[in-house]
Order: sequence, then C-alpha cells, then structure tokens
Amino acid sequence: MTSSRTRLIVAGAITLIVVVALFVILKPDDNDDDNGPTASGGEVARQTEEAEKDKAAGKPAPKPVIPTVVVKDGEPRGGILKIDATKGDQIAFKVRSDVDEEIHVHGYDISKDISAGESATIKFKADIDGIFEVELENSAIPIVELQINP
Amino acid sequence: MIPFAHALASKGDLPIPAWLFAWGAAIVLVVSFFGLAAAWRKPKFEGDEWRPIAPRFSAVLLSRAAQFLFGLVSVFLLGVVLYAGFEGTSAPDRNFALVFVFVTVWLGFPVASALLGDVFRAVNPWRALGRAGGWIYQTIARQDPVHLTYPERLGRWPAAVGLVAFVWLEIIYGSAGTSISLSPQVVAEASVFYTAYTLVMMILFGTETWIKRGEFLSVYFNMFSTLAALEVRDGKLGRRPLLSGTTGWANVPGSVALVISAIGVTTFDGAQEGALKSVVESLQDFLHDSGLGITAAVRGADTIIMLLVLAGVAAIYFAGIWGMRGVKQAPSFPELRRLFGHTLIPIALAYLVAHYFSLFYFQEQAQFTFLLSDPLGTGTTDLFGTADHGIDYNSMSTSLIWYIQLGALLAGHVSGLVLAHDKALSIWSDIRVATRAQYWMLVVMVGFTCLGLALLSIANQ
Repeated sequence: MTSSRTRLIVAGAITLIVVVALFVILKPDDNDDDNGPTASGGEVARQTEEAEKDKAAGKPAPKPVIPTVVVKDGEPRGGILKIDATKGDQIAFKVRSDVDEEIHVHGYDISKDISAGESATIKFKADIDGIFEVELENSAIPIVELQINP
Repeated sequence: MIPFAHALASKGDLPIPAWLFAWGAAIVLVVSFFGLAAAWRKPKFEGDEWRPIAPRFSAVLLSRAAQFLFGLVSVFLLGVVLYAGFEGTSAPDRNFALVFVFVTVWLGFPVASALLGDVFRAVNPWRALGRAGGWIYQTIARQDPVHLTYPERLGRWPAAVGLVAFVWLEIIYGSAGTSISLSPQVVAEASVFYTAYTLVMMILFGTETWIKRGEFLSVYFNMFSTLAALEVRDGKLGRRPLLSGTTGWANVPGSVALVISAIGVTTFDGAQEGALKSVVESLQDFLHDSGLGITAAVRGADTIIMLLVLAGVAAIYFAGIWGMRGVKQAPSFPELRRLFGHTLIPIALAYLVAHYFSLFYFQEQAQFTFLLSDPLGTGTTDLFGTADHGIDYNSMSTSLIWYIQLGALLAGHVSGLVLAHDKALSIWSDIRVATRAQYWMLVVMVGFTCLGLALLSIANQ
C-alpha cells in the first residue's frame, strides 16, 4: 500500500514538473506595442486602397483617415466596422446614413442623431475596457464593434 | 446580416489570455487528481452527517409567520414582473421585468443556493400560491385535496425540458431577426403562461410533488443547493459536510438530463458568440436560402445548433462513463451514468459563474438603482431616488473578471473530481481499481475545463 502511494506521489510530482516546464517553454512573448486604434471591415479596405492610389499619384499624404461606416438601406455596407484599441486611446469614427437614425455606443452610453444623407463623427476617449457594440438605435442594427483592451 | 448580442449585455467580456489559464488549470487538475489518489483513501460523503444547528434562529426563520411573509413578498414580486412587463417600456435594459427574471433570479439563485441551501423554496411564488390554494380547498371542502400519482419514471424530465425552453426563450427566441433582445411584454406573457401551467400541474399532482419534480426553477435551483453545507430537514435548519448532499441526487430519472442541459445551454450561449459563431451564421444563411423567412431561419439554425451542443456535452460525459465500464467489477453502463451524474453539478455552477459573472455584477447595479426606482422605465417614478443612476463599467477591472472566471472553473472541476473520486471509492473498495476508474473521470473533467476555457478565450471574436 505504502509503495503504491509513494509511486503515485512521485508520478504526480513528475507530471507537475513536466507541465510547469511546458508552460515556461510555450509561454508566448509579451509584445505589447501600442500603435493606437486600428480599424478593419466596413469601408476601411476601400479607403486604404484609395490612400495607396493617392500616394502612387504623388499626392501629399492625407492626414490619418477616420474610419467610416456607410449605412445603406439600413445596413452597414461591407459589414460591421471593427475597431481595436487600448484603454486611454482616443476613438473616432464617422457614420454616413441614408435614413434618419440615432447612433448609440453601448456601455459608454453615447447617443447622436443623424439625418438621412448626412454624416456624423463620434469621438470619445476609451476609458472603459471590454467589447462594445455601436448600433442604430431604432432598428437595432449593429454597425461598429469596439474592442478596448486593458 | 444578423446582429449578435445577449439580451442585455452592453459590455462584452474581453477574451481571457488562454495560454495562461489553460496551463494553470492543467496544473491544478493534475495535482488534485494525484493528491486525491494519495490522500483521500476512504469514501467521506456516503454517510448521512446532517446535524441540526441554531435551534432558535431556525425556529424563527422557518416559522409559519416567516413562511407567510416570504410567500407574500414572492407573489408581490411576480406581480411587479407582470406589471412592468405589460405596462413598462419595451426597452429591455430599462425594464424591471427582464433584468429581474433573467439576471437577478436566474443567475442569482444558483450561487445563493450553493452557498446557503435551498433558499428558492422559501421565496417561490408558485409554491406560495399552490399552498394558499390547498389551504382554501381544505377550509371549504373540509378534506385534503386528492391528486394523481406522479409517474416516477418521468422524474426530473419535465424540469429538464422547462430549463431548455426557458433559455431558448431568452437567447434564441429573444435575439432573433433584427430585434436585439427579448421584449419585456414577451417575458410577462411567458410568465402568465408558466404560472397557469404550474398551477394546473400542482392541482393535478400536488404542490410539493410538482415543486420537487416538475417546476423547473425549483428543481434547477435545488440541484445547486445540494452543494451547500446548510439544509432544512423536517422544519429544522441543519448542517452537513460541503458537497455531501449531492451523492444520491442523480438517482431520480431525468437528473442526468437536467444537469447536462444546464451545462449545455451555457456552453451554447458562450459558443454562439465565439467558437460557433460562423457555423451558426452559415446554417442561418443556408436555411434562409432554402426558403425560410429570416426570423425562422435564425431561430431554426440556433435551435439546431443548441440541440447539437447539448448532445455534444452529453457525449463527453457518456464517453467517460463508457470508459469506466471496462474497469473490473464495474456496474453496468446505465448504473454508472446514474452513479456519477451528481459530479456534474459543480461544473454546471462553474460554467454559469464563468460565463455570466460580469453580466450579473454589472446588471445588478441597474437592478438596485434605476430599475428599483423606476421599474417601468418610463421615467415617471423615482421611488428610492436612484432613477438617474447608471452602471459603472469601470467598477471592476478586466483582470479581476478573468481571475473570477478562472477561479470558478477550477473550483468547479476540482469539486467534480472530489465527488467522482469519493463515489469511486464507495464502488470499488480497492483504491487502485478506484483510481484506475477515475482516469476516465479525469478525462471528462479536463475535457470540460478545456471546453470552458476555450469558450471564454474566444468569446465575442
């Protein structure tokens, strides 16, 4: 009985050492370089393309592009705009809509009315971390997804 | 384009850094398994060690007057839910009904039950109504009401079905189409329907029988109360060793179905926002393309995936039990399934806490401030002067949420292992054979831990 017990403890200890060793070897590096907010999806791809074209044509580099969501027939063209940022960053995005709507940033509880055919820019400081939706309040259609990392 | 969203969540949790927590979990599981095999050599939970405590407190707490008071409060709150649901705003996050039913009660009682025992029994509005009805009948007819015999074969199956239906209403019916959440009016209608159904069943089978077997909130919360050290027996408050109340729980038919459903619906809710999001969306598109309307396609696809997830969770458990069958002198497969069913209860609780803790914490700030002062959400009342409060999303840091999620998963799975180990010792007196049988439970527990962590690490992506 005692020998089976000792064997078990030894086996447990060895397994523990192996797991700890694997843990140390496989632990990913922390490369936490903060380059400010990045955006993807929605209209961003097209805008980046245009900026590249401008550059090729020798035009002066434009100031940083504010990501834009274009709402057409009640839905965001090109899908939901994803913004990835770090807590403390300044967030800015522009919404252009073909219907009267109210833009609502959940969690931060920021609301802004927008009239058909016009655009609105929403700016705020990301001081809450988490994942948040921005939606068209009346139709409950999500247009932007914010991921604010700590 | 189909919106994702939980009925209420304004703030989604950030994915946990999986590499850290997966390894942490692996270490604790391995240590606890070998630790148990080496140090826990006799079954400890099989005997009945319930002892009455605090006789005076117990007499007051369980007095007729207290029971009457709790019953009255519970029926009043059910009334508030109906009133707010029918008369209040249709914005789910501003209406008392939705947050109270799906957050405060649904997520609060499992934890309260695991800590304090079966508290829902005291504040169950349907039990109060059933008992009041029984008392009135007795007073008028001067005899006990006569009931049908409840078919024992049905066991806890009606509760398992009720549980799945309730969650289906919340996360599938409620978030279908373009509406982002369940409307408070639907909550009120469903409550009226459920109240009528429950009262009819109580008249047919008797209040206490239906509370024990069919009223799914009672049966579901009671399941978690078996983990607690406190238990009321024969009108007296008493204590017993933690976890020991679970051992005979799964002997009733349908119990394994109930606990697997509990794990499965939480898994589905986590998975549809992350791991299975694209699968769900392709199935929705497929059904939509085959001619279903958009709402029907969304609900159909979600329902199919939810049933598949339930089957998947059952498969993990059954695979472990199937493996254990090969150990010498093992009981039969159906017998083993029943014998180890209770080991999944702590896992169901762990999944619930890991997935909904932050939602609960943030929404309770709403429950106890503006929803309390302005239950209808129409801005017309300010009962306690807190109607203009909001939720402070910075009141709990993301890393603390991560540690609580991890802590819940680890505590749940270690508890599951402890229960399984103890049960194995009572089946196989030779600890070496018992340990061999438990390798299979280790596989089940590691499987559930990894699944739980995976869901948390890819949530909302």
